[in-house]
Amino acid sequence: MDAPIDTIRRQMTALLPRLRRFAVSLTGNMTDADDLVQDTIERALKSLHQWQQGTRLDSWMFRIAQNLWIDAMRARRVRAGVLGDPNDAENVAVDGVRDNEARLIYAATCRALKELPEEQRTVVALVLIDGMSYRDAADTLNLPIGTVTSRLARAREALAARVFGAGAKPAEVMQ
Amino acid sequence: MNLSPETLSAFIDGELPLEEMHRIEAALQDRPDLLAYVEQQHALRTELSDALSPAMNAPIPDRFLKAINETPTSWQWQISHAGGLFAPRNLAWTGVPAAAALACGLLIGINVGRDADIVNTNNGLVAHGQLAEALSNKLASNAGAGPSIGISFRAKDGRYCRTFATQSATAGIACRDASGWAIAALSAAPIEVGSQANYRPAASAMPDVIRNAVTGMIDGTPLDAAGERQVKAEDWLTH
Repeated sequence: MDAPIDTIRRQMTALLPRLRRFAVSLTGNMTDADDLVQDTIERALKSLHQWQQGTRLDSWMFRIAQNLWIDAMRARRVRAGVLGDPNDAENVAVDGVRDNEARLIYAATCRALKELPEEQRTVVALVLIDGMSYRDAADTLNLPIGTVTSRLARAREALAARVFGAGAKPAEVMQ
Repeated sequence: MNLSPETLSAFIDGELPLEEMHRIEAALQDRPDLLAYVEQQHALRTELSDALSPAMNAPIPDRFLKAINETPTSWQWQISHAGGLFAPRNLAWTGVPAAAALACGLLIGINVGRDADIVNTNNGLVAHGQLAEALSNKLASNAGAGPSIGISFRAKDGRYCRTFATQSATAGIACRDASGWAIAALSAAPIEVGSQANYRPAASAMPDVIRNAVTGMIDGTPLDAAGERQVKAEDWLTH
């Protein structure tokens, strides 16, 4: 039987791909994302007593990553292009095999993500990309669920318009 | 039907109660523009996942694994969870003079006698024998036979104190003073049930009452390995 810390370290390891993807959503490039993941791991272990056992480890670590990123942006006034150059596939497309069409879609998607306000991008990263429920995203971000819902509604309209072009937004939602 | 952007968004994500999902699904049949939007949103979700998939699928850098396996956990967590595999036998107490508890027979199984870990003296309970030896000489990082040492710290009263667990399933805090290692708190240690003939205290096993006592006593943070060595060289006495 493992000691509790061994179980936690194993859960953290299993969480790495998702944590890394979340970090890329926040930072927009692998270099910053990997530094953020590293910092998140270290911060989490060094403040492990602040994690309430029985609550979600993933939500807690995502929250740490988000807070660290906000701090980092404040501290160094991150360069204007938060997501880097979307045409620079090296930023994210580390598999290096994406074809041109995929690269274009990727570029448009990343550009759209980049242009979202930070608060909307985070919600998109948790719900649309990571697949969290609204409740879990709200818990992760310490927000009311209604705020998550409204940020997401605004974000997805903006994203669709940018990725798919004009006319993506329905002419009228209210009936 | 009044359909807000938020409701439509929640519908797309399947976040509405089943009845409302069905109601909106039916209403959308008359709104091809909204149906197209819903389809587009499903496509968008796929686009986002694809765009970020390299981050999911890339090999995990060794430095992450190193950080996970080698970053020390916070000392507060260590105190709380060391030995947490085992349900403590709660014979514990704090705030009661140790000798009184001993006299009342509260500390069942405690080994008191000539070769005991803890003896009753005119100055109260003090560590003795193997335990006193371990408290004076064993570094917290050292495993090995005999009593185990958890953490070492400076108490608010200025003394250096150490947490311990003995082979007779007793855990506690001992603080160094001129007379030796005075027992500041004592508890039954969590023990491994079903082990061989002798009880073996879980490494660094630390019952809640001892952890809480440390939290109340500690001045600052526990000593690190270098700090321990330095204070040990001064025989754990405050100068």
